[in-house]
This record gives sequence, C-alpha cells and structure tokens, in this order.
Amino acid sequence: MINKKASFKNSIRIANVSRLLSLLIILTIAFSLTACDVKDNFVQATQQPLRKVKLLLDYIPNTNHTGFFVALYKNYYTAEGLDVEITQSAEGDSLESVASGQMDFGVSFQESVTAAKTASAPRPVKAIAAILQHNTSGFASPTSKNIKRPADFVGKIYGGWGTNIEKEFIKTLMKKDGADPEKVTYLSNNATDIFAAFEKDADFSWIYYGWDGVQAQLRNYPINFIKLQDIDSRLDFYTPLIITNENLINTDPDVIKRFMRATAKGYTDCVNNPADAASYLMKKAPDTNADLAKASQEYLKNEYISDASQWGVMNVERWQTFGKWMFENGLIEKELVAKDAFTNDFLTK
Amino acid sequence: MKRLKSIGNKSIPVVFILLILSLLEYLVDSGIIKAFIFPAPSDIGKALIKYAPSIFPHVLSTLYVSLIGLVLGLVVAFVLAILMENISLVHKAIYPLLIISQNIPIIAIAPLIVLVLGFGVAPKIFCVALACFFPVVINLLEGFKSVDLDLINLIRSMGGRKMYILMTVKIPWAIFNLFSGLKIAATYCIATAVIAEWLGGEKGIGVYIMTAKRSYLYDRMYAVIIITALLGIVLVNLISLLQKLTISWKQETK
Repeated sequence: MINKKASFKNSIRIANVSRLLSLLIILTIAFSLTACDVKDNFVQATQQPLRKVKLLLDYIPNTNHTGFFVALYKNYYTAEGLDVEITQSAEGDSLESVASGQMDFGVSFQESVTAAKTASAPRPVKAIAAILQHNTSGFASPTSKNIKRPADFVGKIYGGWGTNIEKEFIKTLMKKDGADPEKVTYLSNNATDIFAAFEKDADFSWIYYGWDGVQAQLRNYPINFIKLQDIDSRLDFYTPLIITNENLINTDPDVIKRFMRATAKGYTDCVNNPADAASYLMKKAPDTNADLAKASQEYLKNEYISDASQWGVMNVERWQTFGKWMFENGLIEKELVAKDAFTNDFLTK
Repeated sequence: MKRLKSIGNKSIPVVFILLILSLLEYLVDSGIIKAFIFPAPSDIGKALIKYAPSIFPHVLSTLYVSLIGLVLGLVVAFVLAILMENISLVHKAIYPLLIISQNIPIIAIAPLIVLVLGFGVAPKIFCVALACFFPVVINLLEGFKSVDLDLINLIRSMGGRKMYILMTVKIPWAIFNLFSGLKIAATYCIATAVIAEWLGGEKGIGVYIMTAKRSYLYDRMYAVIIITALLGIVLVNLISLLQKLTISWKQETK
C-alpha cells in the first residue's frame, strides 16, 4: 500500500527536481545565446565601413607572425580599409581552413602548399608571400653528441613527428654526405621541447633556429646546428608563407593587394626595429616569453627580407626545385606546376 | 571521537601530497631532476602567486566553456535517455553510436569541427558536451533498468500509464544515477575543455598552457595545471552538495 504521506513528499521532490531541470534548461539556452559571438559592428557615421577579412595563424602567436600584429596595432590595415580578424589555433597549419573559404588568409608552408596542389583532390589555395626569405630550419643536437655533419647521424636517434618528409630530409642530407641513411633510428616524440627530448631519448631534432635555436642561445645550452639548405640547396624552401584561397583571388583581388600592402609594411617594420616589433607580439600574446620574443625578433630581422628585393617576393626556381625533390622522394604523387602554387602579383613594388 | 577520525581521514591525502612535493623539491634542488624539465614546487608556487592575475581571465574562459558544455551534455543526456527508455527502436539505433561518439579522437576531426562550428566558443562547448553527455546517459539508462519491477507492475495494475510511470517512478529512482554520471562528467569536463582549446582561440587554460610550453615557461604551465586540478575538485564537490540538497530522501534510507 503506497503511503499517502510518502507519495506527497515524493511529488514535492519530483516537483523540485523538475524545477531544477527546467532552470538548468533555461540557463543553458540563455548562456548559449550569449555564447554566440554577437560582434558589435558599430560604424561611425563619417567613416566608410571597413572590409572584414579573416586571417588564421598556423600556430599560437610567435615571431613568424609579428608583421601581422604590427600592421594591426599600427593601423596599417585600417588605413587600407580593412578590419582584420586574426584567429589562432594549435592545428599547425591553416591550409584546410583557407581552402574551404572559412578563412581568407592563412599561414602555411611550401611543403604543405605543394602537397595540397598535387593531391588527387587539389586544394584551391595559392601562396602569395614568403614570411621568411630562406629556410631557417635544420637539425639541432647538443654539442655533447658530437653531431657536426649529416654523416654523424649514423647510429643516432632522431626525435621528430614521424612524418615522411622528415625522413626524406635526413636521407637526402646523409646521402649527400656519403653516409647510409638506414643507420638512423626514428622516434616520434612530438618534441616541441627539444631540451627535454635531448635529456631522455633523442640525439637530434628538427628545429626552426629563430625560436628553439635562439632559446638554446639564451639558455647557454650549446648546440650543433645543421641548416638544411647549407647541405643541399634544394631544401631552401619557403617557410612559413602566407596563403589565400582562389575564390578570393577571382572575386576580390583588390582586397588581397591591400592586405599584402599593409602586411608588407608590418614585416618591414620588424626588420627596421626588432625591439619595437617584439612589443607588438607581446601585446597580442602577453603570456609569451618576453626575452625569447626580443631575441627571436633580433635574429629574424635578417631573415624577413634577407637578400631579396622586397619582403614576401618568391622565385619560381625554388618552387620548382623543391617540388621536384618532393616528387623524386615520393612525397607527392604528381609533379608540381609551380605557377599554380604561388604568385607575386599581390605584392606592391 | 568521530570528529577526530574525520579530521584524520581528511589530512591523510594532504600529508601525502606534501610528502611528494617535498621529495620533488629535493630532487630538483639537488639536480637529479633538471630544472628546465620540471621546475621545483617552490618555483611553481611562486609562479602561481605572481601570475594569478594574468591567469585568471584564461581560467574564467575555460570554466565558462566547461560549465556550458557540462549542462548542455546533461540536458542532451537526459532527453536522449528518456527517448531511449521509452522507444525501443531509438534505443537499438542509438546505443552503439554512443560508444562510437566517445572513440573519435578530437585531434583527427578538429578541422571538420571548426569548419562547421567556427573558431569561437561553440566548437569547444561541443567537445565538452560530447564528452559529458556519455556518462550521464549511460548511468541514467542503468538507473531506469534497475527500477523495482514490482513497483512498476503495481502502478500498472492501478491504471498508471507509461508517462506516469516515467515521471513518478523511473525518473526519481534514476536521479541518483544521474548524479553519479554527472560527477564523472564533471571530473573531466574541465580537462576536456582544455584539450578542445587546441581547436582555436586566444583565451583559455589550454591556450595558456600551449603558450607557456612553447615559451619554455614551465613554472607557469604547472601553476595553471594545479589550478585546473583544484577546479575539478571544487566542481565535483559542488555537485555532491547539489545532490544532497535535491535528493536527500535517498540519503535517509542509508
């Protein structure tokens, strides 16, 4: 027999629970509405509305990106009538988001663009400027390992990301130096901290000198650094670079020109005043290591333009040569038509 | 006596943690563990205090994503569990998909998620809700299954129909299970939000950790990890409190 008092109490409990659940549902809906980014596009009556443009960085903000932040905070973009929204992700490459049209511009790499253009479903992207003129990456190792040349890789452990291109870099370098590439052990440790990796399992790693190399200097951690292009000039590919999608090229090339003009100005400022540039990176990403940022900008001031006539310009030979290298080493299935992959048309002389 | 015992019980984990911290401090000071691999606990503590103001907005952002995701997961789980309980076709169709939903690595489908949901808070809330709805729905279904059949038969014999049984017997019975599921979900909703911040965004514990890691600032990174752990503990305790407040009748039978 169901106790009348108990059932009354239980119906109060049910009512309470129902009320609680209803409250939760209402709160969820209310919060979800505020979660939809209602960006206030408030435009002053005297100004022309700014053209909204979306840029996706390849990674969290670092000194490869400083030119964008300089252009943003010094209002070079607004002077070109652009409202640039800079998004960051830890994805490591912006290519797919730019290809899909979700983003107008992105930071990517020559090896990515080459693979994307020669894939069975080629991506509609094009490289429009090189952020650094020459490849600043190479193989680093603590001096204690005595790896001074590619032949010294023999019998050593490489700590990397497990991609085929890393293996091909090592093979190419070792063959050039007359060593047997089979004698290297490959370890995937996703080593973003090379110092920890060197302590434990890896003997050498692939780094961009501008960040990890500079950090080693700051730490007084002596490393041997073998730059890819020093051993084989075919490996002087453009990295990183800026890409856009072909849809934007066809529908609004003027926006690309304006974006590039302002961005070029930003990167040129990085060359002329690295300390100032560092402050803009810190403004965008205040939690960045300030000392590393400053030292890195100081190193990169010689790399943004380097020996080129202006910032961003690329030459077809380097696209062709590296594309050929990728094809010969089985990294891409079709040969690259370099003219499809990049253009200097959007850089203002 | 009971008081002393309870204080004793609570101090055991605290003492244990302090012992581990002292050991770590010694290992780093003596150089057995290199400071650039793992900073001394004292350095982490100092970083925690020094950088708390800059860490705070990131914590708030992640908490926001975690809680919305948790509640969204809860609501979806509740609705789904009821549908599955009452319509056996839905149950048969959806149950295997539940397991599949938990085994898709976020890293693999990240570009797809951001393509559909963008780079704002939505993709992160989605990932948290995806992880959180599962323990709740599974526990609810178990709860529904475990209802005393005699009780159901009794109500049926008095003319009570499916909806009435659901509202008066099944749901109140399973609320206890709902809270178990909710506690599990709450335990890792924050960590899930941190991982989901990989997808994109400037704010959040996950972004802070990545920035600190790439900047080789490990004392800050571990400081934030400590905060994350503490947040998780607080959240689970809050849910226990909520449980006590709403279903104290179940406690009485203990």
